[in-house]
Amino acid sequence: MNNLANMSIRLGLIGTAAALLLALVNYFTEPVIEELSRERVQSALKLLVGGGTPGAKEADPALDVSSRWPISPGGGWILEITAKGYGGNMTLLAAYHPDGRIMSAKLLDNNETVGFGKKAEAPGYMDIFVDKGADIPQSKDDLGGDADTVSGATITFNGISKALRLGSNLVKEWEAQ
Amino acid sequence: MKKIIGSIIKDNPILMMGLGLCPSLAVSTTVNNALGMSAATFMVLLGSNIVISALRKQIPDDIHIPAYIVIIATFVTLVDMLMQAYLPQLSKSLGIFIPLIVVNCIILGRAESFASKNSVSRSIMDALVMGLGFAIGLTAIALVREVLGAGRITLGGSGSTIKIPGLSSAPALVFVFPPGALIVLGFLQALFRRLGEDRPEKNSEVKK
Repeated sequence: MNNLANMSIRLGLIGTAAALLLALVNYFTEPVIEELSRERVQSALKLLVGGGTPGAKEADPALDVSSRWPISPGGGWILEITAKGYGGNMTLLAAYHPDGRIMSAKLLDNNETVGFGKKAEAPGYMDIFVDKGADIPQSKDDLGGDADTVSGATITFNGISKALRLGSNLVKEWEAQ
Repeated sequence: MKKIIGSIIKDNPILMMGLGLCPSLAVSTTVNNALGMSAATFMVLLGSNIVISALRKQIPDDIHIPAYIVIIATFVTLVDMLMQAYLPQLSKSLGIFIPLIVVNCIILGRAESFASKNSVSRSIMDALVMGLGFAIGLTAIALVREVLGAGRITLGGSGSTIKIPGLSSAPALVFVFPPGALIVLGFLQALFRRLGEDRPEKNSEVKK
């Protein structure tokens, strides 16, 4: 019994020391990480709308869409969409014209595989979806000569394509109302 | 010094012992990632070796594995948080493989076989040799894969690249994929084994 208590106390002390150290480091790093994330979203928003201006953020407008911003002038929406990738959930930011065509898109948070799914973060990757509405590519076959862009990362591509199609349909619904 | 260099080759964790292959093969697509992963693994190895060695007489045998895992996981989380805050680009590109350092067998292996039986100063030296060996192995794999598979070498956090004439327009894509990583690993293992062989003295043949 004494031996068990002794071991428990020692393991508990190691765990407590570890928790205290992590809490201390987290106290300093958390505000920096939050600020970086906020800056990343803001710069992505500006980049996505080009000459337009994103309006006030609205939270949770639909399932799998965590935020939306109206674009002015010219109309359209920017959506923050959750997509399913190879490494779990991915966060996408996509700007749509009022008719549901994709203006631009950017992959934000993701756990995709380095050298494969991570390619979706590269500039130019989202060009395969830009200016597409009803004919957003759904499979490699729809990409024609651009199929190499997604090779080795089909699940990432499928997840992004599905999320962008969801966004396009939602924008069309909202604009029709 | 000669002994340290000898240890880096003969006890190389990736190329001689075959340890830590999962993250090594996954992140060795660019030299930049390999250097970042090496630095993160070295920090965890150094921290855990120091703490485990300092506490080796306080940790009973029955709970040594959970205790080591808690210590290693603490350092990994610490490195992960610091990278996210101060090296966000590198943290993004290494992704899930930073938290996965917890299960890298080099770290637990050195804790179990060395740090738990030796003094703090010797454990620091072990972390230096193992960390450097891991960095050399990982960077060598990444250099070959990036040159042959992408026809370029990525330098620094800015992402500037050196293009390799002839290869950048027609790279051998197989080296970007896992089979290419295993092929490169195999050739580099053969090279390191050759370098690590104890060669007989030239005079010994004459004497015979």
